Amino acid sequence: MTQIDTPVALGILALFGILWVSFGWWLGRSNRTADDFMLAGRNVGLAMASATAMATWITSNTTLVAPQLTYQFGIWGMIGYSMAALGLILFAPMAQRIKQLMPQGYTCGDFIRIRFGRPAWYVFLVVSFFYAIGWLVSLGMAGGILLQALSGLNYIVGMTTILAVCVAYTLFGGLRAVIATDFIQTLIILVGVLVIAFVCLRDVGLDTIYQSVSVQQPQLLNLLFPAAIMFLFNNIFFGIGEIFHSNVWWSRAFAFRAGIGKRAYLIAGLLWLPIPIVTGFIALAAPALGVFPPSPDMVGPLVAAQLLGDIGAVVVFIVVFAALASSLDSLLAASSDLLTEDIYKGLINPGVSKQKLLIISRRTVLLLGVATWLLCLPRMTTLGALLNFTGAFVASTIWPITFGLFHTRLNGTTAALAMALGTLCGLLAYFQIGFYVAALFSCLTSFLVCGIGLWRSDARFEWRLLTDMERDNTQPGHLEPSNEH
Amino acid sequence: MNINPQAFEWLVYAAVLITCTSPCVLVGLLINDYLKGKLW
Repeated sequence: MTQIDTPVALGILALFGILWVSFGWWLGRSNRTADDFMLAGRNVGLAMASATAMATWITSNTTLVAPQLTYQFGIWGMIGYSMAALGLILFAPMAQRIKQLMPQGYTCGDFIRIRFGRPAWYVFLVVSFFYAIGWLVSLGMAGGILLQALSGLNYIVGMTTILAVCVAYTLFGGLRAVIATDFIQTLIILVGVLVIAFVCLRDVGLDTIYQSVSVQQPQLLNLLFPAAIMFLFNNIFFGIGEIFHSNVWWSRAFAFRAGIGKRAYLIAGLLWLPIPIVTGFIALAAPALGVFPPSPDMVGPLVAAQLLGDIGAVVVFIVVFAALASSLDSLLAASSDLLTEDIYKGLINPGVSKQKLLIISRRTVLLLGVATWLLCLPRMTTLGALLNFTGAFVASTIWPITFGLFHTRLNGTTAALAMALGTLCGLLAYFQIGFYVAALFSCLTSFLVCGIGLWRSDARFEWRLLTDMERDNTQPGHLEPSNEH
Repeated sequence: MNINPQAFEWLVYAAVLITCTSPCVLVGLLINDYLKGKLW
């Protein structure tokens, strides 16, 4: 395959690294409080809001795993991946509800603790941190794999460089820097992906792609490919679970200006929907181009480099670096918020001042970066497998969160049981059947538990407890049964 | 049962077309927010 020289790769990395870090520092100068650092002042406009939601959802997985899944599951692989946009679209009304219910909220942990009480909050934190670490490691590994594939640079050197850049600008600028860089990174990703797609259409053509796939790997065009259909439904629930539970999306709902959250997530979802199809169909050109990747997660970069030569390798490099950075920074910021607000303030030091919280928040970003680096050192599994393993965890949160936001009757015990049993069943399905059903089983179990809980419960939650952000809520805020809804 | 070539073409072309409009939509929103002083 065509590779760029290692010094050129390092030069590009240094150039963009300096650009992002300087921009982050410049934007972070006005950060005075924890609200500024963690939530960008809670007044983000529609353009930045839409772009950051979209950019964060365009991860290295969209650019590396979407082609991988298309290469493994064919048509349903790319359509299934694009269905993850449903998560953004369905989160739109929830973002509005979250801002309305909790105008002073910081994290999704705040919501779970106040709405369901501590037992459910503990289960949720386990699910949330497992997912966050899984996603962070998946992104860090993708950085190392990308550099190795495109420039021959050592995996550990590449992974370390990308992580260091993202930690640095998140540390300097907080969420404001994350959102502003996300906007520019979105434009870079979109232009880069379109360039590769246009060259693929011009040089190979859809007829050739279709013919070569139908001869060499006809199952990829099969609309009744059973594993792929299971994957489609699994990915829908996985994507919804990822977004509904993750503080990455909740922190944005808190940060966006009142009244724009719904529109921003809707725009982001609709614009994101076709991207996995665009990155995915490129993988189907592999047989026509005679590209046979050593591992499926390399198919995207290898085909693009084959199509575009030296310049192509540079374009792919910049696109995937932007995709990695746009997600890594968001995840670092949101996970550090969760650690700072829920673990430090919620469990260790409830009386902490806002100023001290700002310092702790910055230190947490740094610590999280170091922890991710340590976990990325051994290249443990393929990106898709790691990502889908977390599906068992996140899909169990869909119903407790949805009912918790819109329904007064779901109580804390049911929510905790739904998340715990859902995760267990999802993991069982993951190991007994395959990764493509983990989220499906997890979500269904959680739904059944919530359904039984709602049927049996006559409790009523009082929404003002969320608005008031009461801190000392060792008991969930359920009132005596009443007729009001 | 395989997807037919025409459906495959439509799927890919539609996805590329929508992706082409995305940067325009985002830059348009940015200009609008900037002019109204509602960027942050």
